Amino acid sequence: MTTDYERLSIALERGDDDTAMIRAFIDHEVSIANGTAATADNQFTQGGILSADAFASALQRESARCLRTRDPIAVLVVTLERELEAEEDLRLAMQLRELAGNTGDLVGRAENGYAVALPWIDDREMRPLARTFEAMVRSIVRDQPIRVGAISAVPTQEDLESFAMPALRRPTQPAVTRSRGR
Amino acid sequence: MIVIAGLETIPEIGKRHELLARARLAANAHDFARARQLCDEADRVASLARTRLAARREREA
Repeated sequence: MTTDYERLSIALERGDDDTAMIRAFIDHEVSIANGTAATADNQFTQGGILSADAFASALQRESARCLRTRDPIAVLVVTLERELEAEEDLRLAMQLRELAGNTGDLVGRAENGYAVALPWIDDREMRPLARTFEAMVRSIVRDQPIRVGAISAVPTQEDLESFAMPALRRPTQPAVTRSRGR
Repeated sequence: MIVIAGLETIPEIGKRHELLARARLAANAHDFARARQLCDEADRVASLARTRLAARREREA
C-alpha cells in the first residue's frame, strides 16, 4: 500500500482553513463582547455562523477538495418563510455550531435560511444528521413552515462549475437523495 | 469508513483534527483563551505532521 499523499496534504490544508476559521470566529465574538464588532469582512453573522457569501465560498473550497479525493460531502439546508428574531437566530446558530463540530465542517446562512456542510459524510450517515438538523430548526421556529433539503454526494466538476445548494423538499415528502459511484 | 493510506504513519494529522474539534467546542462555549491555546497546540502538531509527511515522501521517493 502506498501513501496517499494527496489525501494527507488535503487533510493538512483542511486543518489550516479550520484553524483560521476558529481564530476568526474567536476574534469576531471577542469584538462583539467588547462592543467593537468589526463588520468589515462580513465573514460571520451576529450569531457567529458564516454569512451566506462566506459559507458559499467555503463550501465551494471544501467541495473542490472532496472532488480531488473522491470523498462525499453532505449538505443540509433549510429555508424559512420569515427571518428569525435576533434571539431565535442566536439560539439556532448555537445549536447548528454543535452539529458542525469536526474539521472541515461548515455552518452558515443560506438564502432565506441556514445550511450545514459535512465533508466525508455519506448518504447513510447523513440521514440521522438530517433528522437532528430538522429537529433543531423546528424547536426554534415552532409553527413556521420550513423547507429542508439534504444531499450527500461526491462532487463532480459540473457541480463546482454550476454551484448550487441541494434541492429543497417539504418535510412530509421523502428525502431527496442522490448517489453517485465512488 | 474512509481510509487514508499512510495516515497511521502520520498520527499528528488525526491529533490535530482532534485538537481543532476541542478548540471549536471551547470557542462555542466562549472559553476563548482555551480555544486559542488549543489552536496554538494544533498549529504545533500540524508543523510536526508536515515534517513527517515530507520525510515520508522522501523515503518513498
